[in-house]
Amino acid sequence: MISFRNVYHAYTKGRERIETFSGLSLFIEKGKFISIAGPNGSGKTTFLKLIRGLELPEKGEVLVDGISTVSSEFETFAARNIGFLLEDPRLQLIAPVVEEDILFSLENFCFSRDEAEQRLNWVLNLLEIEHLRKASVENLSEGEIQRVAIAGVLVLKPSLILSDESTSWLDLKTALEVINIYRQLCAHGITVIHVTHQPREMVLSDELLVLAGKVVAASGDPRTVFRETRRLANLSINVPLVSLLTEELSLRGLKIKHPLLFAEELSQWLN
Amino acid sequence: MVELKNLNFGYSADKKVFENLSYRFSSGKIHIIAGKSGSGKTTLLDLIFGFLKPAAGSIYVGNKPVTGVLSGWAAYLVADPERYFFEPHVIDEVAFTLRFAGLKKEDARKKAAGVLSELGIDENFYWRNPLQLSKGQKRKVAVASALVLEKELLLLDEPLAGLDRSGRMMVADLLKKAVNAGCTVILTAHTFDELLELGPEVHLIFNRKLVLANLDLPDKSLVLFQEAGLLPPEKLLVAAELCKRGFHISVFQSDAEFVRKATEMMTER
Repeated sequence: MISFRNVYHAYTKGRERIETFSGLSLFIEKGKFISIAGPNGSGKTTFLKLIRGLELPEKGEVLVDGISTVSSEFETFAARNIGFLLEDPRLQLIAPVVEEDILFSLENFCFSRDEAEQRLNWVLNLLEIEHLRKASVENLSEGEIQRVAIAGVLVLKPSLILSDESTSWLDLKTALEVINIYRQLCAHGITVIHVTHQPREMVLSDELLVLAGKVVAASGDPRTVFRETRRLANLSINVPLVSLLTEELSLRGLKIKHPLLFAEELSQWLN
Repeated sequence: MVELKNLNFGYSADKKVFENLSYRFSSGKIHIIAGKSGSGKTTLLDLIFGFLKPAAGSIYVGNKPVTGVLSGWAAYLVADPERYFFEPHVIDEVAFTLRFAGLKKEDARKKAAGVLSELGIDENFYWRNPLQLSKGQKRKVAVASALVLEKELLLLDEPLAGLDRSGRMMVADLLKKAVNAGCTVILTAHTFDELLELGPEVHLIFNRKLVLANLDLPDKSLVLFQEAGLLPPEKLLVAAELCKRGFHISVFQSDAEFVRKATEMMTER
């Protein structure tokens, strides 16, 4: 459970002050899969950092499970419960061999050998990277690095996962597979907050939050949010091609009950 | 422009990336390389630029064999350019390679400013530290640094990654200009609907080979995308749906044009 209460945030450098959020208020339920969209520079990464307590509000407060990010107990809580997938997954890999890297984070939390081994197998299987177990990290492709980094975070079974474009280096099909993993985790009560530019990923979330102009510009069920296709496109959100097409067809008087988002939905409608 | 002859490459005996690959990328065009994560897209660019050496076979650029790094001929936007940023200011990061090529500071900055403005990065950003920008803004700075050199061959690894809608369109426009000026572009992308209006050749990597997908034939190319384990571009999927119903629409146009034409076809019925 996450709440933002009238949050103001800015970056200051010398005399310069760049405001990111002014009066952000929202509430995220436990066990939900939330997508964050927004134009470049709209504060998506900052939003995640505010939740992790890596950035603090100037005014207002951010609470995770009722604990304020400025409170003294927050860091201990966050280290154990919040997994952060960085925008550059390379920064997350430490050991030279994949399995060592994934085990590394477990060792830090003093898991028994058996438990660690069990979790390692679980996560390698989940992300379909068993074949990479003994691979050397320096020989991995960008997409493989991204999946290993995700494994390193999931293996700790955090209750909240903050994903900063953790699928950006994957082909779309693999990316959607990772999204399905996130959804499975949510079914087990884990909350996932995922920043993305990809409409096919956004539509799989319980809720889509659009950050623009220092506030939440739109939020709700992704299909409902996408009804405002033109407005989102003007905010520089990547909108589905088919939703632009349905909008145009509706303007020409064609009756389309539910907005269509992707080619397969268009196909059904045409039938 | 770029020719691969009987190319073999692998990182180790059990991780072969290309086997006996012969292929040609024609000049003055934009080439899009698509493939599953780990299929060898970055490796291909590394080989062409000369960062990696083939185990066997050879690579020719402009009829000359590649023997070292191609820095004179080509500009290469690597997969993680942010790691190589080192100038304290955005404007100088982009101007750096020009200065290195012998341009005076003021001239280099002027040229850098020109490219940056086409990517929507205005003066407010010139004196910011590139490392403190957002991911999308960093990507734009990196794209600008590669394009400002005006090389004959542009190798771009994921130039659209992390960009919003207008960013993607601005990069598409810049690439269009580069190609019109005679440049050859080889880039990788996971989604590339915005680039289709440039009439690119789309090459898929799978089974350690490159295959040309002819997007004018939606059904045939859809099969290829499936074999490569990829989700096809949305425009191609829509074109295939329309084609089944007797409407023929080209994918090689902008989103706006495509939507306008598809609407006309469907409302006439």
